[in-house]
Amino acid sequence: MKNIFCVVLLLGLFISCKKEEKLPTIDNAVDLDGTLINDSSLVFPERFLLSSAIPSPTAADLSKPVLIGVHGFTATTFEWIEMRDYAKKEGTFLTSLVLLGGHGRDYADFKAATWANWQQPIIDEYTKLRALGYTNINFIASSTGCPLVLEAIYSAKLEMDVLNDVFFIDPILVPANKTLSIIKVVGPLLKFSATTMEAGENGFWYKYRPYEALDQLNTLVKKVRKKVEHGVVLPGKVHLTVYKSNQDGSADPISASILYKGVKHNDGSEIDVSVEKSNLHVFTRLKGRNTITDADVQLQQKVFLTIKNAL
Amino acid sequence: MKLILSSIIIFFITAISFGQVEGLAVTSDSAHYSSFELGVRCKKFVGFYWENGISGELHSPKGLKNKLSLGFNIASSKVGSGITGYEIPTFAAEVSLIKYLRDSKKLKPLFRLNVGYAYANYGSDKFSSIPNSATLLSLETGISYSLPCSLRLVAGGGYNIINGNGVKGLGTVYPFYGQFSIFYKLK
Repeated sequence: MKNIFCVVLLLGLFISCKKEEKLPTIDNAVDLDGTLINDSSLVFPERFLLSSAIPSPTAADLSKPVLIGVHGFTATTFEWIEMRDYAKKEGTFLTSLVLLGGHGRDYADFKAATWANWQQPIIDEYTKLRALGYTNINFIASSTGCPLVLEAIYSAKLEMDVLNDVFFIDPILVPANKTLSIIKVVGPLLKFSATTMEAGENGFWYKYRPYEALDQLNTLVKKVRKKVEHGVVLPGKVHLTVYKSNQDGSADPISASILYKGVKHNDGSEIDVSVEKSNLHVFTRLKGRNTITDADVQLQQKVFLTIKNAL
Repeated sequence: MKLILSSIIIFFITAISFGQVEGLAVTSDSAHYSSFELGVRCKKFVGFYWENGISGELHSPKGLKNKLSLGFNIASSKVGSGITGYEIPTFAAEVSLIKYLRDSKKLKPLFRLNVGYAYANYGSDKFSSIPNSATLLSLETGISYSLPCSLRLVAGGGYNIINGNGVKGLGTVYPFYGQFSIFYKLK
């Protein structure tokens, strides 16, 4: 009896130790997670990054404000395409859309990247634009892009002399799905999670989220939330404005309250926070959604106009 | 809703049947006399705040045929994570039904059902359209250890059946938590 027990125990240990990688069923023809589809900014950087579009800016170029668009977790530069098109139409400011590290490529790249890897292209583009001579640089970030930008600011990873306005759209410091807090426990069992996307979003967002990436997300939002809760004073003349949907299935709206309580401008004044009536996550991005209302369009245009006027 | 009700029913049937299987003899002092304990409870949401406060338990052989004890918890992040920082102040009040197993022993497993109310102060009217209160409903399990000099230690963990998901519910209520309490027997 004792021997049988030992054999069963050893078999159990062997099975549990067997390294068999569980992989999602990726459709290369449709999914960004596959090896065929990449974010367009990797092929045509000059259409997205200002440093590539205008490598030798004129005095007229340098006199314009620049808005760097930073997208969120699993997304791509697609998230800020509408802002880029709006800026082109208005002609009063320039945009530069950054693709986060590990994003817009394939599942393996996403799985291997850390949150610091995600952040690096933000720092790189800002540094390049500053070196080119732009003197009025601003950020607009969505969702996970917000803690990445904020961390880069309070950790002094950016030279602050040319940074002015920072706009956060639906920042995430507290995830809506609280299961993320136990990702270290459930992640190794699940390996990845799959999301359902709307038809127009296929190829622009990762469909599959490896638990390693979810763990990085959890690490980032906890780290930045705790820092904010201990108080962050924005350096120099940096001015922060936060817009938050009041119903958001990805970033809990209390994230905005945590920012409001913990982040102050350099002169001690409160940051600007506006809670918007919307149930969209990143309500400024309407392209690719199945259903949008007139109220969604009006809200997007109101925020775009406010940002244009602020720059 | 069905899931919630089923979870509660299964939880307490399990707790009570465990007691019956163990053939609990009502022999301890606490089984014969009413007693009231007051203590300090420290609770930590997995991935979020500490909420600390006071807790009390009433053990009475008359009430509930000596099968269950009654309890309450009052806790706040103001005396937890929010002591030094800019955390969202949270407040929670709960009443509880508690089932102890191995009632005559010093080391006792326990099952607990908490029902209550939670509130969070977001600090400005700007956030008036975000839910700032919610009903609490949690299942808890743990271990109790009686010390000499009327002290008792309890450690365990629980699951909030109702928690915030960004669209409804209170965002400061996370699903999983651990807790540690120390009680002093007043009567």
